Amino acid sequence: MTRLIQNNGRGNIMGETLLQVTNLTTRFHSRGNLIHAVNGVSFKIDKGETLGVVGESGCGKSVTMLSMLHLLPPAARVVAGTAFFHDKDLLKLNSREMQRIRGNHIGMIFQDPMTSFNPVLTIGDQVGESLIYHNISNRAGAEKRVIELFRMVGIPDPEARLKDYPHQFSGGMRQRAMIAMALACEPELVIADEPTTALDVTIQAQIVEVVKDLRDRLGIAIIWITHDLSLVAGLADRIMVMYAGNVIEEATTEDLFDQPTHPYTLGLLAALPAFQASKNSKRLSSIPGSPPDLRAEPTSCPFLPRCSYAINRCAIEMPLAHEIPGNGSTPHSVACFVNTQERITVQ
Amino acid sequence: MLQYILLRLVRWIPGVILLMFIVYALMFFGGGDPVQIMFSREATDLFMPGNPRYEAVKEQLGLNRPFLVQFGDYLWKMLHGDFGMALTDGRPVARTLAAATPITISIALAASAIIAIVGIPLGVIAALNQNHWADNLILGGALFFWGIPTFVMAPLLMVLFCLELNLLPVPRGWHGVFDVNSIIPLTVAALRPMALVIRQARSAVLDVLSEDYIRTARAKGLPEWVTIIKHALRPVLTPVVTQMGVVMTNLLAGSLLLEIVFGIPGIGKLIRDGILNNDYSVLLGCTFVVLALVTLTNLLVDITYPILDPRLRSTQKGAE
Repeated sequence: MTRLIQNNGRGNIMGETLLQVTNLTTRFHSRGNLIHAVNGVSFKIDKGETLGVVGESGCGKSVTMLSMLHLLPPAARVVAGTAFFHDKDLLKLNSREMQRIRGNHIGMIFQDPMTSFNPVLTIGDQVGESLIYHNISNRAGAEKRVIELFRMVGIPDPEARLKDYPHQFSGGMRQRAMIAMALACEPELVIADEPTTALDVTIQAQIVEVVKDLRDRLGIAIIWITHDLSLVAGLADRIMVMYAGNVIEEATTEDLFDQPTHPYTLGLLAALPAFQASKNSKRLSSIPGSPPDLRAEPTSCPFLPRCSYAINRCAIEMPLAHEIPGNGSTPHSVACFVNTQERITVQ
Repeated sequence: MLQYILLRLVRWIPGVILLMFIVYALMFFGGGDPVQIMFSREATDLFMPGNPRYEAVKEQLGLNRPFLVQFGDYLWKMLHGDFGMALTDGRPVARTLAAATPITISIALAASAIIAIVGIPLGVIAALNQNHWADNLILGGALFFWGIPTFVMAPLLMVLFCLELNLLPVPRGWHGVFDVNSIIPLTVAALRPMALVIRQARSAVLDVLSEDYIRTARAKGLPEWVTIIKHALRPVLTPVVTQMGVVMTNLLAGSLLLEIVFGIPGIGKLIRDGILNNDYSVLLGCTFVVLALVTLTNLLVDITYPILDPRLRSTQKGAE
């Protein structure tokens, strides 16, 4: 199983907490309904650490990150929680203070490089403008920095491509430019929201390599959101699995692949081609059913309807995250009443 | 670019000929006898069919020739700037048109400028305050003025500003765009189409604000005004310019009511007089001028697109 996991060999530069999110809760208002998008999510990330956030579409991965940065659509509201970045609670900042953090201390890479660039402005302008508005450099300095950034992310002929418009870039190049944009102000944390989902598999691998390389050189912390477990396996120090707005399992990457515990994590791993139970099975295994309706107030385990390990308690109570013994450097926590490893009820 | 413009002009020609043909045919077969119209104020019995003097005039003007020959002759002379003679006053139509056209153009340009300067910001303000009182006020106001026809609005404004409040003189005739007499006509010309531009600008801004690249701009920590002015308004201009083109076209071709109400001697008034007097050489000249102006407007709008949207620029590069 450890075949997928590569040692990134960066030594241990971690330890100091960069971001500590506690009990983050976000709701959407939609035609008189309340959508429980994020239900008390807690996690932390250290300086220089890479955290993989995994889960299927609509499980609250992106909403969690957008909540912290005040980038939610108008219909959404953060109703509870704290998100301490250094010693500042991001959720309590006003819009001016938040502006100074966004792009400057926390960079963001979005999923679709096609729609995430303004079609009528040049790429160079869009990559460099955060430097100007964060008062880091003037126009000429920003241009110089953009050329340097383009070189860093592997965009050939940076001086010329600076003046190109987004439609003149290929998908992969656009995503490289997006990475350059996120890194422009040398942020301490970069949140990558499914940065490779819209790309070809070969380009995906290139982008992952670019990010890995930059992370190791610059020592930035990365939160990498994806629905592809195998993609973060070689990239993340820790992985957090989300389901229906809850964190259901969190462990170091090795630990999660060695000892996957939550039934949902088991299902996700079983769905990976490399993890098929029988090598000659013709179909990939999948998790039956679909995610729950988020309009209902969660009172029982959200995974219950799809779970093959369920016990009576799952229907009465919401399982809370608790630590289980693991062999990683950070605790392995799971929100499940059943110890799937031994199928014994945890008391 | 030049090639593109020339191509547009070449494509325009068949349309012009077809429309001129239709108007020519309508007037030829339904407009009455031109010789009788010409001499309607003189001794009419001398100019009845069968009278030698009548036949002589007809012969002299070439009106005995077949329809298609006459039409071809008309087109040929038009190419040389000769639009013929007005039937009623005998003056060359080209000279009449040269006097009337600049007036209509200046009204259309001035009204368009007012619409752009007032309407676009109002639309943007409405969008930024979506569903709040400012939005409702602007949209409601736009709809209100859109609902009032020119021939109702014009007298009402005159009663209000000239008679009741005594602020302005009663406008009559045309003394240039910057004359005090032009305030009410330009207001009337601008108010109705402005509703279209306000609504277009509002919906375009709302569309753009929900785009991913606006979220990207915010994620970069740009101040909100930079996000709006630099990232949101540039893409909004394309649909707004399209709408402005339509508005401009309507102002040029639809000046009839406005010019009648205020007695402005523009193309609209010329068309009305032409219809009332059965003066088909004037009508044909007006048709051609309006057609040329509308085409020119559309051409200008098309030339503007690549300036506003770089994606269209490279398509053209590729086509050349």
